[in-house]
Amino acid sequence: MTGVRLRRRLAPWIAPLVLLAVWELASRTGILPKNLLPAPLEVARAFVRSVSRGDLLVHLGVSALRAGVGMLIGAGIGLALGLLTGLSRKLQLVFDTPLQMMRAVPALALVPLVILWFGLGETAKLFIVAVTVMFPVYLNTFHGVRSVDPQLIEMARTYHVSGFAMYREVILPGALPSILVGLRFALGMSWLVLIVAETIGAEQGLGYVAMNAREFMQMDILVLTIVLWAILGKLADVLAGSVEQRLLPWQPRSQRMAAE
Amino acid sequence: MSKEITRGAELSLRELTVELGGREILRGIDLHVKPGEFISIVGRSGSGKSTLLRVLAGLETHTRGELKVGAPPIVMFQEPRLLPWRSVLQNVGLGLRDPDPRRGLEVLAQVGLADRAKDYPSTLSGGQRQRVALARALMHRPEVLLLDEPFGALDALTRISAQKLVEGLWRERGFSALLVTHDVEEAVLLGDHVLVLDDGRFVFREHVTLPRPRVRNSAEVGRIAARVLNAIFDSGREDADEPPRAAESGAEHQPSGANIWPNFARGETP
Repeated sequence: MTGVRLRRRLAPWIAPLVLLAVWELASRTGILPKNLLPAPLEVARAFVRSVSRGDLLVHLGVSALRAGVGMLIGAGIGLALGLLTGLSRKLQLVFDTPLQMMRAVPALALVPLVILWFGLGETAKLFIVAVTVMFPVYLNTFHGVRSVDPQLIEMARTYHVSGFAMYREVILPGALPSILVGLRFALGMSWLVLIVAETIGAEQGLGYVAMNAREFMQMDILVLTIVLWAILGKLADVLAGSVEQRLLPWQPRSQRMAAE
Repeated sequence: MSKEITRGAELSLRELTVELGGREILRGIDLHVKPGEFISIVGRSGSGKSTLLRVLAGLETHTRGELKVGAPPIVMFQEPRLLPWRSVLQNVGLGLRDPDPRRGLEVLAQVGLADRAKDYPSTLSGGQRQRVALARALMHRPEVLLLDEPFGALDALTRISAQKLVEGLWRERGFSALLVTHDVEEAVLLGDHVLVLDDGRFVFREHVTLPRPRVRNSAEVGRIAARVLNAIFDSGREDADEPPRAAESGAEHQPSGANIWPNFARGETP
């Protein structure tokens, strides 16, 4: 690895590390009262404690499962709707407006209804996740399909490509970069919305841990969950990025960087 | 490398009229292309030449008249229009149910790109991409090749080699070719016949009998190009309702006295 690349790798971490150092220093000198914000080392200690007790990993595992399953359902529906409305003006007329309106509804507002419909079980939580991730996937799929280069479609038609072959050769690959942007958003949001979903009668999960810490004023645990969210969000992004690179090997590197 | 000889197909248009958005783009044109002929069509933008090609390609439908195309035509567009997500070889096989990779490599070799078969189009230069588009066309053993200004976006040097490549493959394979361009010299260098389209009608026709390959910048090519250019300028000067009928009457085109760009259009032959 050359020096330039090393510096590029490290650069994004400079700001968080400096922030941590300043935060620790402020706590130690008493500028930052510990009852308002615990010091980073205390948070780290809380992390080690929870991990050694074994419950943190269980909470993370449960949350990951909820995020993952909700993501599969929501993204699947969003993808299907996006493809349908993207390919047919009639379906767009029928579906687009209601979907756009539903998109404007905050997940939190749905909670009472969801409890009424599905009770306090897993279904309610998965529903919240699925509904939330559906929209970015739907919107980006729709735009991806619509923005496929019409010149390529025309060219393929002159070579007698039609029907399913047209989707496989031209439309889906053309829409894929945009679809992946939607999935990337969705992946991030599937974690975020757990804070809402896991307030519904949960006894496990990251959202439950955060809610519990809030109730009992466990500031170190509360901050720990916030940090975990930040790290998991970044991880989700890295994961999505590597999926993108694998699925879009044909994109020139410069183009891929610009999209990030 | 196996030589592939394809007989060209016949093309015939009679009184062909095309309306788009309520406007007559082509007004009853007649054209007959014999198998294996190379026809060049020139005209300024808006003359209807691209529409003519699109109708022949089946991308637009004609309103009136008769259109007979002896074989499914293959089009080369101004842009290469390669699928960015498919390798060069996959692009060449587009539209074939079970493309034979050996044949794909053969046609790529004919355009000098066999070593780039596995690469993505984004790694190629503009001229190389257009050569891949040509290979894709050849892969389909065209009997009719429609060329919609395929050299227009290339730089001058690349354009010359691309023209030579197309002419060489045409002579070798014997398909019928119809080239739409606004480069008059290119039209004369490649065409057996050069036709000038203006306002939806053919206003001039020149049978070019010079031996091939024709010499760029030669006196003969220059003289013919100047005549064609004259026809284009003259036709633009007339009222749209009264276009010259030189092509239909078959008469030699007589340059009229009052030409707005006399020096340039009559271009002294070097």
